[in-house]
Amino acid sequence: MAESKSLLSASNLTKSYGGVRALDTVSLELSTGETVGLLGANGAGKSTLIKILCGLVTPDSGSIIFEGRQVGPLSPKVSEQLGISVIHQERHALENLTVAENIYLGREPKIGPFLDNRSLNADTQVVLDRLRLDVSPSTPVQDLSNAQRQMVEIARALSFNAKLVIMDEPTSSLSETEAERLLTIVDELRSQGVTVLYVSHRIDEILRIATRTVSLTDGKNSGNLAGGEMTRENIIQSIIGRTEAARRSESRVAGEARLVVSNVRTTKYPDSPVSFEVRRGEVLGITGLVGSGRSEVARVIFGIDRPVGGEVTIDGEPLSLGDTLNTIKKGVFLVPEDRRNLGVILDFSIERNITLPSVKDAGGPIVSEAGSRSMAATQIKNLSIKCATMDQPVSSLSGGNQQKVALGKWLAKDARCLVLDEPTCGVDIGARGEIYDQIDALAKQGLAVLMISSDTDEVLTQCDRVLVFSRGGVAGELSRDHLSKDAIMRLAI
Amino acid sequence: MLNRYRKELLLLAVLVVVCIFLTIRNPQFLSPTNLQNITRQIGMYGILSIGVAVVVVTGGIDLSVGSMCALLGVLMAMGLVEKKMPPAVVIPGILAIGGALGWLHGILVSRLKLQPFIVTLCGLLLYRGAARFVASDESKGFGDSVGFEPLKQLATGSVAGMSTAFVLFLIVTVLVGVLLHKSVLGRHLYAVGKNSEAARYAGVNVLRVETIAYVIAGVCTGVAAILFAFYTNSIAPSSHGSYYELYGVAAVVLGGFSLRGGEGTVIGVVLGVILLQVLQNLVNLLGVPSSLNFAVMGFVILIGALLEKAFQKKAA
Repeated sequence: MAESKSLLSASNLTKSYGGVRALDTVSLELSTGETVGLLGANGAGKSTLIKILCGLVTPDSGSIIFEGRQVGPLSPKVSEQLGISVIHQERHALENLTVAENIYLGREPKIGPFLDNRSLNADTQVVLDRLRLDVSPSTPVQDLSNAQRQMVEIARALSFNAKLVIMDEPTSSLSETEAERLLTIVDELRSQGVTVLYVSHRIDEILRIATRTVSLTDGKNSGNLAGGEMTRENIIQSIIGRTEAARRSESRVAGEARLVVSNVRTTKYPDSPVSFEVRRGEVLGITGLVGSGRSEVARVIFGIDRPVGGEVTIDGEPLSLGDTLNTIKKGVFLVPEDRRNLGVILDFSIERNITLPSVKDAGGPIVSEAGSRSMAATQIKNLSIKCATMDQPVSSLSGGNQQKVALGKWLAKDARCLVLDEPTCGVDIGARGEIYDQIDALAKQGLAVLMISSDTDEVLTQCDRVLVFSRGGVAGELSRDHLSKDAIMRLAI
Repeated sequence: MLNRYRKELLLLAVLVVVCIFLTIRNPQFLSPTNLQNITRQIGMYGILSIGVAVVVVTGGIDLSVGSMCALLGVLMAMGLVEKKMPPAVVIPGILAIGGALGWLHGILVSRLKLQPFIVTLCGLLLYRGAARFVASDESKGFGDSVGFEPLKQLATGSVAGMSTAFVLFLIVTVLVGVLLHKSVLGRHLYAVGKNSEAARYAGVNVLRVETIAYVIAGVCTGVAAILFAFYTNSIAPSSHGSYYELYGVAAVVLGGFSLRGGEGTVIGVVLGVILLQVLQNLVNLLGVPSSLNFAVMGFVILIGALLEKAFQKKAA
């Protein structure tokens, strides 16, 4: 076998967002025709690395050599011309167009001003044959299964003569048989000399198809494995960070159960009943990989989604599931993950946002301007929201202060249980500490706090007990004494 | 403060300029008769437009108000004149029918998730057809029949030198102003218009709030329909109220509301309505061919939208 040729060599890539270093002097070497698994926990820097390679993000420093030549700043266009294609997690196929129209979107063959349908379909057939895909070029994409759509995306990448195909969690929304079919396609690509960078949490898949693995932890390279070293155990070791964050020194005292979730089955994972309880005065953490069904459970508790089955009670009273107004009346509140679209109304002032859930509590039909302003002032002070006036729109605040507003609107009401979904995502370190202090204070007041987080450090430091979710179910529970990154990662994967 | 009412101040400035220009070109503009007449028009169209404004705040639209004026007008005339029903029954009845139709629009939009444009476009067609059908396509009205003078006064009379319709408009303006800008429901209306999902996550009863907006529009249309009917005195079911929905939407848009919802003030609609009627008056007083009536309106709204964009860029 000939010496494999270097296709891409990226070195010392560094990228910071605000004060947060997402990538720290990361290097990546890829040779022609190999399949490399890229691994890392949530927030380890995989997405940032991919975005740099496909030209969506410009690194602060570092260099990229592609096929022996130094490449300047990448843009999506340049990256595509070089032969780098990304199959994204969420597919971008246009449903109303056919397979062929999707693959050649924007570069359709023409005869004069008219679409040349014949060569469009013929060209597409060639690409589909390369992948041994049994789909007609003229099938509308909306008639295809998830897996087939994904393969259309791969076909599109091939039609650009892609030399490097990056797949970002390609099997996360596929069934097992569909996933298997996709893995066969990846093998097919390799046999045709296409390099594949395969990003996945699923170690089994990596072991099945990758020739090598590259791991990232906290934005840094944390080990490359090849050949015999590529074992499940070694891979897990390589993605667990070595540093353990400092624990919260004092422990809280948990009382009786307040929020009890029994056999809740969400529409996304109807076969995985979830049961747990959150006690008075405790912060229960829920962690797990993105897509493991954590937010779905939160939405059921808050009454946004109706579950397939199951029951939730607060202090013994059942919540009427699917009825957010009733849930709020019972004192169970949610700070959603999507802060900008669901947590706050960006164009509304701080005052209006904070008082939105409670203006009607005063009873009368007319808003007491003074009452409303003093309520907002209390929360602004309580949460140290940094603003010039309470009348400025929330959109003008930093992410951390927006999150404080999203939290503050519930603190103005009587809470029994607070569900926080990724409460510090995109929040700077200062505001993060203030939010943690607030959560601690709430727990001490006797609230039951449920904190969903992908940030292992946050879960380790802030929670009294942690549930690890995996594929829709509770994979395990870790008490404070048994909490470690290692234990969490083992359950999550 | 200045920035907050930027749109309204801009509109006021345009209105003042147009009025001064009009007075210079034809002093008749300020004559008592003309003012009486123009304020009456402002009153009737204003009540209609304010209802539309409440719906637009939620991100919806109401295209049915013109046809509804025809249907309610015909029903009222037939009830009073042909069936000889007492006004104390007919007038509240008309308002109730207006509210009920609005409620129906609201349910279709909020619970059944139909698009407001489609729902109220169907209303526009349906009510026009219904009006013509119940009236057997004949004009209905009060003619010289006696006994309705007090009611006619609502549309044609005056109170303390101001036309009654204008006084009614002021009352409706104050009520809706308090509703939009001072009440809990008002805050919820704007929240739903800005981001209905986030409003839902904050515990706003989005379905109820949306429905109420259409009910308010329906009741306002009912009030306007009564005034228009007595004003014209004869209601031709095939043409009465034609294009009124466009007057409503035009006034609201001119008044600084965004059709995406969540924006606009009562002062804005009032200024919008006044400007539209002054422009109508301008066409008459300056001897502009009346065929250009709508064209002038369209032109001014376009200029207004362009000015607004220009100011927005400057402010940003």
